[in-house]
Amino acid sequence: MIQEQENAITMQPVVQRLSSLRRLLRPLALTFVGIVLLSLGVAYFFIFIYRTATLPPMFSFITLQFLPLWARGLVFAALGLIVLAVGIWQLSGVAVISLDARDTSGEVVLAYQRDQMHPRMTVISGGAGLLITASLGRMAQLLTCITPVQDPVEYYYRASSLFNFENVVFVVPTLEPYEVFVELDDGQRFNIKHNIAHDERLAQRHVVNIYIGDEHGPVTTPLQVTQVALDAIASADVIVFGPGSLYESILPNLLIPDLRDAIRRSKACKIYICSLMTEPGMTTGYSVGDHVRQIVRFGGFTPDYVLVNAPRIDAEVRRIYAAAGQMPVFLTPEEYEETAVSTTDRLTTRDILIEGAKVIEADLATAVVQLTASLDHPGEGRTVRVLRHDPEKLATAIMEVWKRQ
Amino acid sequence: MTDEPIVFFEDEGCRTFLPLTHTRPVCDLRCGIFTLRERVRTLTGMTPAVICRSHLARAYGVGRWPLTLLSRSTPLTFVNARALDAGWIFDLLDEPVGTVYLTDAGHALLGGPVLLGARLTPWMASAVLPYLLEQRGAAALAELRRIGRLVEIETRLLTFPWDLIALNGEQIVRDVPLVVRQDGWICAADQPPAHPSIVVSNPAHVFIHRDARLEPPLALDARDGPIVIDAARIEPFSFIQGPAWIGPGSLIASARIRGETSIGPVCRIGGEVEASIVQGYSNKHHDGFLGHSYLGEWVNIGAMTTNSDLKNTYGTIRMVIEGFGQIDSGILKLGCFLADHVKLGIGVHLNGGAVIGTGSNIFGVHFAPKTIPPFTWGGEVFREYRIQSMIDVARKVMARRKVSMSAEQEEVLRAVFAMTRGDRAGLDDGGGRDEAALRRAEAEAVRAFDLVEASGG
Repeated sequence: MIQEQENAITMQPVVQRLSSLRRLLRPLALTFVGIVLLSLGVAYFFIFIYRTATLPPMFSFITLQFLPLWARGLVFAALGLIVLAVGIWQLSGVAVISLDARDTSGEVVLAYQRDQMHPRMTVISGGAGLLITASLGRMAQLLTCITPVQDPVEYYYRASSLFNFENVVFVVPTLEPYEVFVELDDGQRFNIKHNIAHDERLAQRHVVNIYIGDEHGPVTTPLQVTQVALDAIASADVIVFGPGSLYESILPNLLIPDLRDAIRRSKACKIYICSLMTEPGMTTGYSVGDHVRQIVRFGGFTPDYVLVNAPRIDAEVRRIYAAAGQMPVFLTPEEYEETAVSTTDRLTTRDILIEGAKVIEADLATAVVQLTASLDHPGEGRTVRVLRHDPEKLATAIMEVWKRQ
Repeated sequence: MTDEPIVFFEDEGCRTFLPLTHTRPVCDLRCGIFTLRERVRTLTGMTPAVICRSHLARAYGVGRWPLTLLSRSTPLTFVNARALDAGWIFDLLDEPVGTVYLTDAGHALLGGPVLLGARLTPWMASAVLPYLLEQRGAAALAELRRIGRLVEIETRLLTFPWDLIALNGEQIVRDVPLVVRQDGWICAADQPPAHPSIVVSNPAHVFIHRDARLEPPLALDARDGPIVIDAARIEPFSFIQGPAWIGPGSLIASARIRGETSIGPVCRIGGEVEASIVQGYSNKHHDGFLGHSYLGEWVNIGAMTTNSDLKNTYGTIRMVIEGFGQIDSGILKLGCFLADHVKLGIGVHLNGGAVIGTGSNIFGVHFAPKTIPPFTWGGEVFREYRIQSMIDVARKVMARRKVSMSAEQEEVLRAVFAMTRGDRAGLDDGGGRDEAALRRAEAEAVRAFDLVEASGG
């Protein structure tokens, strides 16, 4: 039984490829009949010459006359079958579009052209999430990663030098670094670099405000944006927000007025990759909609698409996260109610909308085993299963969204 | 010495040196005794990183995407790859972070001041790195004007190919102290050549490496400038006039080397050479005149091939510059510029200001055209030199000097071939001619190097 299943799985791509010829079945059958009739005609003609004309000895060799008649038939039939199979296989690799199709949208051609193109991508994220998205570089013409306004850029260069990234540059958003502060629902203010998510006293809190400045309030002088960041936004085909901490990695750069305006003006496809889990002290209790609403609130724009991890999370992984005060970020029943006619996927009839952004649920994450150790007890590391955005799955989802847009 | 990374960058000006820079960054062009990369390495003991055009990045730079470059928290010092003298780099290294050096572009055609160098934090560097990766020095400077403290300094920036020739003599003089302070150098004033037939004028300016082989009779005339002879072999009846540098492993075959000449490593030079630069690994073994010219690497010049470096009208010499068309050099004496892997047959004559592109193989013509695109093959009729044939020849040529062509170098040649295809669009494509005969002739040209090798040439 298992063997049969394995065989079926092995044959699946072959059947899938050959099935692309189903539209050609009738014309191919007609062509085949025509070739058979033509061959019969040619054969009669050859028999006539063979019986009436004097032919050189080479002719008897070419026509396999040293073999009995049935063997000659077998050899030629076998050769014909092999050539026919190769021809059909090669034909199945060619895109065939029915000429009388009334598709005036040019969607097929556009999708084909886009498949050949590499987009210019800009990513606004930070931390490990930015490194995950940086792996998209191999699919991009150029991938510009705009690092958070408060983070030293060399950290990203150092971490990325461990990977074999292509077409990737990390750029800073402003001419100089700034500090970012958040205000919690109990009125406390913290520098975002304060390890809020690991402060147990703050686990049940969430952020109500975020700004660039210091503990006294927002910065009053204008923030000067780097030209390279503005160029990256202006020339991008796709702008990806995340994956990464909403308040640490994504929102800080959206607080920079010129950068925010550039994003708003950009005609690029804007994709927000929603967090997998809530962050204690920052996004406690947040649903997908709450995340998107913070982007709308601080960024002043709505992403075109929101990518949300769909599959059910393993119970053991959920337990580990729950122990740390973290919950999966999900769509609430109310959020499931806001729908529109689907323009993203032929298999579904409706899209979920949050603040006007289309939600795409897909398998985006993988549970990985991670070694953790504290600075106090570096020798006492322990392994835990954690959920991480999967670079391959993310890349596929983002490219699919871009191609279909 | 500093441990802050020094990073060379190419700017828009690197195009003006094509085709010499098709196969190497500008900082690897020789002027004086060293290339800029060698000069900074000798001065600082550090190997500078190079941000260069994408097709050169793997072979000669820090890779197409130099992510490790900004991975340290120390400041980085960026240096324009067209700089000639490196003395100012030490001043920049002592400047506060955020200092940006500007200098005059050197020619009205090239616009206003250009970015000469900058000492930047990784934060600042990341704001200009994408521009530098695309050789957009002006865009980088515009951004640095917002960030940095600008300082205008006076130094020479190489702007056009003839600058290499015009500045070579004085740069040799500047480079001499860097060379002779190393071990193994002997000043002829301290230890004159033992043989009486080695005639030395102004021995205080003649420096000979202890591994050099001087075969009398010879004349070394350092009255107009220093002569520096590395571990080279100077055959009898040679005459060398300073300022001149003979690189290690080179052979001077009874030649007349006149002043302001640099002969790179592993070259074979005969005939008469004046005020010229030979990058290295090139041959001009036989008689013929080479004056005010620049030869790349792996160039071979046949017997009696000669270039003109002065017009009969004593007018200034014009030259085709990529992106600018023909430009008047403003100088009276200018020879030819032969890019890497150029091969010239016997008895070819070249005009002053002639430019022959990478890998071209020119023969059987009395006067070659003044401008010949890369990968051109022929003489009376020119056609595209098939890249595979060219690489086959190059491999044989390099193997004779115990050098193998790396995969990256081959990639560079193939990339240059592809990017210059448009330049050869008008060449004869073999239509209407005996294509098979041309193929046979090309194959014979490849085999000819086997024969030379077999006979120990």
